[in-house]
Amino acid sequence: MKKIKVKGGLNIPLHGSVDNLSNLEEIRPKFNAVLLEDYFGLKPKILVKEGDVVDQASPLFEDKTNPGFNVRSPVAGKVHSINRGEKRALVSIIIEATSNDEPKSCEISSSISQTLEMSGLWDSFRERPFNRVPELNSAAENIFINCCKQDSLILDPSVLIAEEDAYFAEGLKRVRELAKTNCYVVSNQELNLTQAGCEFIIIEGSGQTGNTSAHIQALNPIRKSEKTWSIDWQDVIRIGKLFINQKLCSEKYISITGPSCSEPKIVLTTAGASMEEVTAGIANGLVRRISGSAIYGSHGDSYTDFLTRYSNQITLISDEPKATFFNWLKPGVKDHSNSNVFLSSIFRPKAFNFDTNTNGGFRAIVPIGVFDEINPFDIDPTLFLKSLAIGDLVALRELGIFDLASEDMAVFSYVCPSKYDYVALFNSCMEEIWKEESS
Amino acid sequence: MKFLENFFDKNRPPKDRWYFYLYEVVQNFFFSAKVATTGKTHIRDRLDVQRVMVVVWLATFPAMFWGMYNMGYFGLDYMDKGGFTSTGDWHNWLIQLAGTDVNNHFHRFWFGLVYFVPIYVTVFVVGIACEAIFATIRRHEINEGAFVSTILFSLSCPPDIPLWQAATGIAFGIVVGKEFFGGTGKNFLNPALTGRAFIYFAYPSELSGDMVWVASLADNGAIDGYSGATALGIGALEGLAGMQANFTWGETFFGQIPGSIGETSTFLILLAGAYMVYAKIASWRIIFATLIGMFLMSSLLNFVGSDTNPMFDVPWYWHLTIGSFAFGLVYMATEPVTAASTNMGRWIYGFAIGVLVVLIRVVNPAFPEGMMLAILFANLLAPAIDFCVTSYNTGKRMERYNS
Repeated sequence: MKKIKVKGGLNIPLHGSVDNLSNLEEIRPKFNAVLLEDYFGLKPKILVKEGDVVDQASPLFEDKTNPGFNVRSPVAGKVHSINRGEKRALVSIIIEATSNDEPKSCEISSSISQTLEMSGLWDSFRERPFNRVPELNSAAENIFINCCKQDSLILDPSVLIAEEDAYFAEGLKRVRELAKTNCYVVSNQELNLTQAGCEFIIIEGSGQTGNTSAHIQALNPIRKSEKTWSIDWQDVIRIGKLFINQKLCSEKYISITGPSCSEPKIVLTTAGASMEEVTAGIANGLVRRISGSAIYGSHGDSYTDFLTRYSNQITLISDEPKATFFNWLKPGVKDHSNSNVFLSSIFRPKAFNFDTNTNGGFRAIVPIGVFDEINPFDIDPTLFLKSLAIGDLVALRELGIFDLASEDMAVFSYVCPSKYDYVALFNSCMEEIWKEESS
Repeated sequence: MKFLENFFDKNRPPKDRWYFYLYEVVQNFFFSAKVATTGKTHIRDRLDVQRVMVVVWLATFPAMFWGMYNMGYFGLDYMDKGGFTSTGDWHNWLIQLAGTDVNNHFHRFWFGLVYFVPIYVTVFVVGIACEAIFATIRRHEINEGAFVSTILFSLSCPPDIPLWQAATGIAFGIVVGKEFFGGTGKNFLNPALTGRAFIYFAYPSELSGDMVWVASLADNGAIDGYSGATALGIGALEGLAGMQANFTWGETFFGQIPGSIGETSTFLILLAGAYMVYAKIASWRIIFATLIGMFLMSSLLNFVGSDTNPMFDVPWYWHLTIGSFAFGLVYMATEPVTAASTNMGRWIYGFAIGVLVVLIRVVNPAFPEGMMLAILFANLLAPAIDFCVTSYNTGKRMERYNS
């Protein structure tokens, strides 16, 4: 067991965390969806029509850029709607579950990647630098399994891994077979597991040091000549369940958290579940439902109000931004800031309330040094973020955009006094680069 | 305050109106923006650019109030010694409202207030007007950085500066130092220092010499046995011995010396600096690097020595307290936009300032004060420093990535 310290990162202390498994609840929502925004660079070929009856794990659309890879239905039911956005681009496909039958059994073939594809779990893996679902039937030099607590509110994954340790061990074994040389299991707590060929690593640090990019950088930085994949602990458990039970597995543990959540808890639900159904009755007031953490998550209209593919958390935040009179003189006893400009830096409350206010006007970047302080990655943050803002793709390549994923930008957006949205800038720059590289 | 909030919300103009940004800055003065986050980051830090600037603005207050009091002391002391009853210019009738007793603390403070407030008001109005005009024409937001530039510029002026010169200086600083390049965040020169350097070279008779550092001295004329020179001005001619004959080190540290309005008290400025470092608004790396650079360079020159130039013998702790070293160190060098923006770069940038300021003060025969020029030089160097630092990182990264 190797221990690594990583500097940087920021824990944002919010109200509404989940600390234990005591009130685990099972919810099978009526509506489930697959969302296109989860798949970077995917060109869909839609295989179903509205009203079609689909089985669990039957294909909904195929990726034209990755032949053979289908995105599959999480539940058995009827295609409720196929939603399109600007320029008729596919946004989401919503499935109305017909019944809560037992999961369908699944044939285990000799090829792991074929089995995973047939059961809708191939997209558990994502390949750097673009964080895309890897080509079917390929294998990677390095696989990183992320078991870290990436947000201050979410339940520590090691609790659930301990609960499901047999499945996790089986999943680990299968994932290991896809790794050509290295397989790293990175966590914050000791996992009490062994697996030949896997390296278990404990990362010490706060906040975003739990992001896979930080692990890759610390353990085995990305090279053009090697493939690097990442996978989440939840998907390892699901793969384990698939192989042990020989049944399709679409269930996920979700932490429902946030300052506007009256009863933070763990829910066992289906992938792509409707957030409205899952959080019914525990959301206070006008609330923004976020699939993911408060600093990196998706929320949306009726088309996209569903759990995203790679999130293990739903966060509820008040969506009623308030104006503050003479804000610039506010002492700020209850206001969180990474910089010590409020009285809260002296009294240090344990947790804070947040709403969705930007807390300031949009300004040009004023690099007061906050970026360098919370940066856990191997980049020069101020210049990197400035290059993002002007879309300088050449500079971004050199400054290390290939080492990062869009989730890594979230903490910079959070601390930015000029209120830039670096996640959005990162995604648009990455799409441009992807267009250049793939054409 | 609900009615005011409703008034602002109801009358908020659409973004394409020419007065949108003017409206926004006024609304922002009274109320924080009521804008919800979009995108994937749903909560934001409470710190915004407005608060950053307010912290710096508040941090200038100790130096500002001490500056007024100290300026009053030296003005009244001079008038007392020369037997004058009038300051000899338009300030006089306001001064007479309180009186001219040099031993009265309130009279000293009032004297300073009467001299400083007109300077600040002029600079503020002209500076904000320049920013507002450019923001309106160029359609960019009005940045609160102008508030900081105006107070810093005012504090760097000598007490008796003609108001029209102050206005010219800040206009030049804001327009040429900042707005030509796109406004706050895109400028490469510190606007307050650009303006200060402009008037320094444009109107040397009112901005340098021995006559301008004590209010009313220029109007009433020199008197025998009285020198209005700054410690640094004396040091340039007579070296350490000359300075010690006029002031103790403690006096220069706590600020009982003539000089620009805000620069005199090293002690209060360093306190404000400590607050800004605690608040994480000022970079401690720049401050320490500048001190190290100054210490090494002045010690080197002490070691080398000179028979003709008395400044060679001035030790580092005198360099720290005389002139505008502390003022520039805390308020000007740490300005984030024009400083280097990598951590390594900040060390180099600060070190360069520390070395340059001693070089200009000691070796250069023309200008006794070096802080302003040292910071402006370092501002010009900052992009090059960042380029070198990132090139090193980039080279290693690309080598690894392509391997």
